[in-house]
Amino acid sequence: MKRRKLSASLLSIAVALGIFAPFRSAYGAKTFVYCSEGSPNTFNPELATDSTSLNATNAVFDKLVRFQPGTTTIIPGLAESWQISKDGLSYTFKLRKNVKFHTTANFIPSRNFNADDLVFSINRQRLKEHPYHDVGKATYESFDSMGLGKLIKDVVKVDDYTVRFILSEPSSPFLADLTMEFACVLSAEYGDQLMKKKTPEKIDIEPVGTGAFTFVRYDKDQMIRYKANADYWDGKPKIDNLVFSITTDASVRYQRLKAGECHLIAEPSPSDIDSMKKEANIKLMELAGLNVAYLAFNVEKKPFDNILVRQAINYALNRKSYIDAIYLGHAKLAKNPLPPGIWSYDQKISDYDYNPEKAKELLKKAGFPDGLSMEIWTLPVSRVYNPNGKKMGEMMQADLQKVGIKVKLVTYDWPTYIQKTRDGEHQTMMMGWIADNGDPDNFLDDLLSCDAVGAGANRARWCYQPYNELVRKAQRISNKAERTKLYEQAQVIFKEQAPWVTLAHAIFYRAMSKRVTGYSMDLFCRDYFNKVDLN
Amino acid sequence: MFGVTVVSFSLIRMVPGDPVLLLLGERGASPEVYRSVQQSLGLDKPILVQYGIFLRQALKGDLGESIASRRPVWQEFKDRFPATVELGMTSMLMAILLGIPIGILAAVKRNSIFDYSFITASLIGYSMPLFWWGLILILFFSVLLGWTPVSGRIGIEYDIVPRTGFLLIDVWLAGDGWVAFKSAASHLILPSLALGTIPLAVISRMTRSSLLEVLGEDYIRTAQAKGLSRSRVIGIHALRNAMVPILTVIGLMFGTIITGAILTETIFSWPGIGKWVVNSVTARDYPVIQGGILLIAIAVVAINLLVDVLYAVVNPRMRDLL
Repeated sequence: MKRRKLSASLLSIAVALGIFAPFRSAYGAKTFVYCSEGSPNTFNPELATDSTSLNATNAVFDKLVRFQPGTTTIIPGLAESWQISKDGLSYTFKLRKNVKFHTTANFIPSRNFNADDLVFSINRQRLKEHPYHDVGKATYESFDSMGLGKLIKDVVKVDDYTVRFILSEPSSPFLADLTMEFACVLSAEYGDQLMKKKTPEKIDIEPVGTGAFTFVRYDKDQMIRYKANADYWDGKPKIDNLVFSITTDASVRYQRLKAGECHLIAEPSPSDIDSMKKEANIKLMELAGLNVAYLAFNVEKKPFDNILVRQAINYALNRKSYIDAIYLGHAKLAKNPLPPGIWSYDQKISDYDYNPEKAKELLKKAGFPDGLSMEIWTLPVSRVYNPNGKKMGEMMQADLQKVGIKVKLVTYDWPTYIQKTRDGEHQTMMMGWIADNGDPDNFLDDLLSCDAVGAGANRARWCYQPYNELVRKAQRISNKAERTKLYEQAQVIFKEQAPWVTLAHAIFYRAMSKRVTGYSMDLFCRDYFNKVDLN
Repeated sequence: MFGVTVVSFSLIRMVPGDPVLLLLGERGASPEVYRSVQQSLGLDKPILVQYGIFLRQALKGDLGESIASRRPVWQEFKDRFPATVELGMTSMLMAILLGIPIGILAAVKRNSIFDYSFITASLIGYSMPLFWWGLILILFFSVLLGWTPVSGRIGIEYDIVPRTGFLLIDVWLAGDGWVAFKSAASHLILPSLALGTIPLAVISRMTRSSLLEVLGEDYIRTAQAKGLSRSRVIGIHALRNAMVPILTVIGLMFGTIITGAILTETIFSWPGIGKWVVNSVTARDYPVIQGGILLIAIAVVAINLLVDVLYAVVNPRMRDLL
């Protein structure tokens, strides 16, 4: 009897507490909740290399130039206009006036954005002697790996609203480089104030920018809160508050979307896509991303120094079946190293078709009538461009067996994989690339030039002079039509020489509540909330 | 602790993988850029020098800076540790408050239907993969029934500035009161249930077997013969003597809680140290791994010390041993 009374009391207490009351999220009006996939490492895009951090900082900062949403067309940002000198060595930008920096709990700006802020932001990364260069033990991987330290000879303030970049050599991708996040504009005044207060490291933790949203607070691994910038130069956002709710598991993000806890989710799992299409309250958007997945041959190792062997393997792999099995149909077959969304993509190139007989013929010609043995290093992590390297490796192994090639599959964990492939320890390996700036140079030079072998990004270790000369020449001229011709020639050489097997260009998705309007997908997989609204 | 520093420092460096290259990812960099980044992270020095620097600074309370965030490891740990403690304590409390009574009942009703059901249920609870169990709980209670939130620590509409890091306390300090407390508590239900399932199974089984052993002792028969009530015999005479192995298991379960926290924190987006340390292993964030493992080891030792003290409280014969 006593026991029954006790349990009844406990239950009553629980009910009274309402702890088990049905949970319904009740956000404030116009608070938009984005369920992101991870925690940012920094709130300064100059220091960030991972997409999670870059996405978190996009809400706060602007750059001189930007892309028209969903395209690779460069349009004005904080620069209203620009001129490039005939020799390609000088870029003069006219800056937008009346652009306000954010007012935060720690900072009230006394002036608008001007040339001093742009010079401060670039020189922090460029000059070792800059007072902010080493603040927060910062390193500038994006700026340095693009070679901008050497390329930018000087940044000159011509007047309060005019800045000139002087380059050490012509570089046509330079304007496109300025669309990347590291070219964001920080507040020099905020920097000065923090330096005087002896807390300069806060510039990377409590950001102040000119962007559509003001940073409010970051609750570690949990939430990032932003408030709409009512004075935003490109129009006040339609939402009042923006929250990044960090939810690392893709299945849980989906459940939260279904439960109404998120309005938009990042990186839905490919296995959930079909289910999402059937949900009445969920809207799915898709876009062919600017990415490529490939299998690279290490041409410094036999027998992959033999062009016939490389071509044979291209014919032997049934790549269409990988699109169906690995990407569940959510990808396009790749024939070029460039994805179709990037200008100068050569539609006319003939791809290697799936032809095991032709493969055997080429192997015989190459001196391997009885086949050969080789290793394929498989991607150990799921990436946008390749969600399942292990399974793809197994399918390749089966395909190659049919032409007499015995394959050993090898893998390492991601950090080890990056290091060993950078050092050229592999025979063949899987990798991919996601566009940085929409310029063909970002693929054709950064991944396949002779310099890129030393830098480690050219995993095929392929240094072929006729190709190299074309992409280097294209880097130095500004005429788009001429650059296109050179890149098309380069793609023909690439196809013939076959340092890679090009695999796929992945389609990526965003899933959101049907209440969301105004959201556009970005080719670089970033999320922008300037124009979103909730019905 | 010295041994812990040696093991954590050396083991992670024996695993291939370069944190500098990880920062660069698929992107390449010239050897000059690589060397510059390596130098700024202090990774260009010989291993023994790096260890010496780490030890010297650790003795001063400085565990270095995270390679990923460039912030002090101690600060990063402090920001996340309360969340793990809150989740861990709630899970253990649930496991103890449910496990001991259930174990007592199973011992008292030995060989009954209740006992057999309990044995089966505890075996299932112990064997269930945590990740799967967590997702099932979410699917059932959050999505289908809508009774509990899916993940996170508190509803997004409550903007609570962290002061202690314990949200159940911070909501009162922020002045948001009862409504926010309810939200924080409701967010704790499923993660605690998921994380506490294995400790609940183990504690209840240990309670049952320990109590059964004690109930067979002569002094229990004497107490019954003296005419003492059943609840007094079990609650005072039997349970107190059965508590030593139960306490031992509770102490050991704290270790399970910490390892279980890694998965639980991932599923429920709980911002604790478990996920933080695991992510840092993938990222080869050496300072976080070294510092994080050292701090966790200190916490586990402290808890087991507390358990040893509790032995003496429970069993006066053990006070002399202490």
